[in-house]
Amino acid sequence: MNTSAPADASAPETDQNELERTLGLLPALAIGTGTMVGAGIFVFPGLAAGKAGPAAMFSFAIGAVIALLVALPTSELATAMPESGGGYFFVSRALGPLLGTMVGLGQWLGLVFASAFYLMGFGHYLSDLFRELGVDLPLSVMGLALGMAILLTGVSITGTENTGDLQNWIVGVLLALLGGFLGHGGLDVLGVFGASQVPEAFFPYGTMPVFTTAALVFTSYLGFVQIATVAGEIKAPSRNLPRAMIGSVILVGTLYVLTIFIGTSLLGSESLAEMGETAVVNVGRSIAGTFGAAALLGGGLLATLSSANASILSASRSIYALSRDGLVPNQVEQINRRYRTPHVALLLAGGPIVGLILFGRVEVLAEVASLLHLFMYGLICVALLVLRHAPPEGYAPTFRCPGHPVVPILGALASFGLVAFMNPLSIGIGAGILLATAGWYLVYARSVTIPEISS
Amino acid sequence: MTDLPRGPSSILVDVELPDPEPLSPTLIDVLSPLRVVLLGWFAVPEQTSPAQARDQFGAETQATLDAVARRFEDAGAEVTTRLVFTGDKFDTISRVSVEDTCDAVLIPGAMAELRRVLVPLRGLENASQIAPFVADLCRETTATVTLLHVVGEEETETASREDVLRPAADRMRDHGLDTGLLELDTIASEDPAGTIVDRAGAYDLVVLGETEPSVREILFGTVPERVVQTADVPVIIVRHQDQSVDAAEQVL
Repeated sequence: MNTSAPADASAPETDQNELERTLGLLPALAIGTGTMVGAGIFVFPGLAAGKAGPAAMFSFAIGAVIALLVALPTSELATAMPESGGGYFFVSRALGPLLGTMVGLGQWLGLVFASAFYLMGFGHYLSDLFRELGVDLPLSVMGLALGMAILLTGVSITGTENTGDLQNWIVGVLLALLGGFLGHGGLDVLGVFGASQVPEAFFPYGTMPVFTTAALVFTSYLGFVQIATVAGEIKAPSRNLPRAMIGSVILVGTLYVLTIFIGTSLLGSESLAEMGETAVVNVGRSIAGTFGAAALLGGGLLATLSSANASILSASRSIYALSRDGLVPNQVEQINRRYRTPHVALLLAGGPIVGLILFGRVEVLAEVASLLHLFMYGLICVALLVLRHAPPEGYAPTFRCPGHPVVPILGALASFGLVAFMNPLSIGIGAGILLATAGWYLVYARSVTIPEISS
Repeated sequence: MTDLPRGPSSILVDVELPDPEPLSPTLIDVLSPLRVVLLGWFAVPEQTSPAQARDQFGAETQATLDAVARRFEDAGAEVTTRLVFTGDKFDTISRVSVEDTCDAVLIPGAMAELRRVLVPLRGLENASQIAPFVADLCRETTATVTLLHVVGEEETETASREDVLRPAADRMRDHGLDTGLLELDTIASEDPAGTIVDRAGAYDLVVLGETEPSVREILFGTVPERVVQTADVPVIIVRHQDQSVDAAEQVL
């Protein structure tokens, strides 16, 4: 028995106000996967197949490669600065407060757009559910999405029960469900169960739509960076952060490509396209009848909801990081004493979501969300190049991005390049938002200085 | 385990912030011979970053914790405070108990006076962990300490006395406890946990050894929780001494 505890020696220093790291590898993976999987599998397959045919699987693969090119640099930066704030934190420290503000506000609004998009997806699934049940609903898809947006915001402000475990379960159930269907469907396609494939041209609309579709569906790859946003709460960050970020990208990327491959093989891209947002339900039906349809309908409801919820929470975190540095008013980080939730930040996420759902154009919502994230992704890669070129005191990452400087250079070029394939309205809205965030910095926060990197 | 001399045993006392559950003054007096690690924790829901909560509540909660610490200091205890903002209090208690090498962890309950202490033992090994702690805790008091060994049908009462209870009593005496205050008791039962919970009501304090290699499981697991809930008696869990920080943190 030893009473001269090592902690005693450093007591005055370390005893002050510690922050507990509570997220292990699996919860971190669930944050990334849970934010991503709702879109790529449950909303996009029909839309993507309609635009690019069976080659839409390449679109998802392109997205996965870009996400991976960004996840590697992000992993290095996150292990060097395992603090909450993620992309904003890296960019503001490496490239200054103007770009930092644009990235931070851009991430907040990007998540707001993404959440509105997921909730529209949720509305489609819910209205499908009622249709399957034969219930005639007076509410439109938009009405359902709107109701859920208000409910989710309310619950996130007043809910004191931790839903983290629930989220882990949802992700686990979804992965098991998808694994089962994709495994069975894959064998179907290979002819094991004697089902016939739908023969069609692989590039029915040429190769250009493969890239425009990649730009559209990139919303399916926004989740991994949200892991970096909660880096301050992750246990053993030097080990868990790279694994969770890179692992979640590889996991969802594989699932997306398989889903498109199997969906287009079993049903053909044209009929997949006709089914729109909930096409995957019919893929389930063709594999396992009514049970399959019901399972994927339930999966779609859960997945879109969990993605929307995770996005609202991440959006609130990203504005908090800005308010800590004084780039937005510090009332934003006010915590409600009763519920202990950041009610102002959560309202700043939930409020605009309601407005965007009224705008209602799913594809534009998705693309603007992607654009705002791609801007951050590109700058994260640039931040790595800058920090590696002239490492500041205390820059000591435990994970080194492999293939430097090729990987971050390609990551930056690909991130900025993908934006060019979006539709002009999305580019216009995205650029307008970024200009407005720059304007905010110039008007409100020009005098703010960002602290140096410290370890 | 090293030989004497050594400092007093240490105990972790967790304090919920910003509004702590009241601690009975008697309990504070009883713990005063020990080194007390006072762990204040502020729980945040997942919507809230712990850093955000610290920005807003850091000063206020520190002041509250310091006030609790002063009560222990006034009673004569050697106090260290830690204040943690956490999404999971079990993680925090478990980690700090290992980092600060706390010999024991307190689960508070009501206490009017310390007259009788129940110390259930599972075997000799378990007794050797508990003995120095109980001695440090009770040396200055006049409380009777009942060493209770619950045996199954195949063990005899004599064996229990000779192999477990007497050697355990000897160890406590070695650590300075007055043997006149010790009572030895063997009970045959197939349900040791239930027996301990039933008996606890007649005592003012229960000191238990940790069963699992993790504070988390025993702390909020079976017997101690049942004791606190059914009898409202404070429980002290004496930890194993061989835990690494990694094991306690459960990195996955």
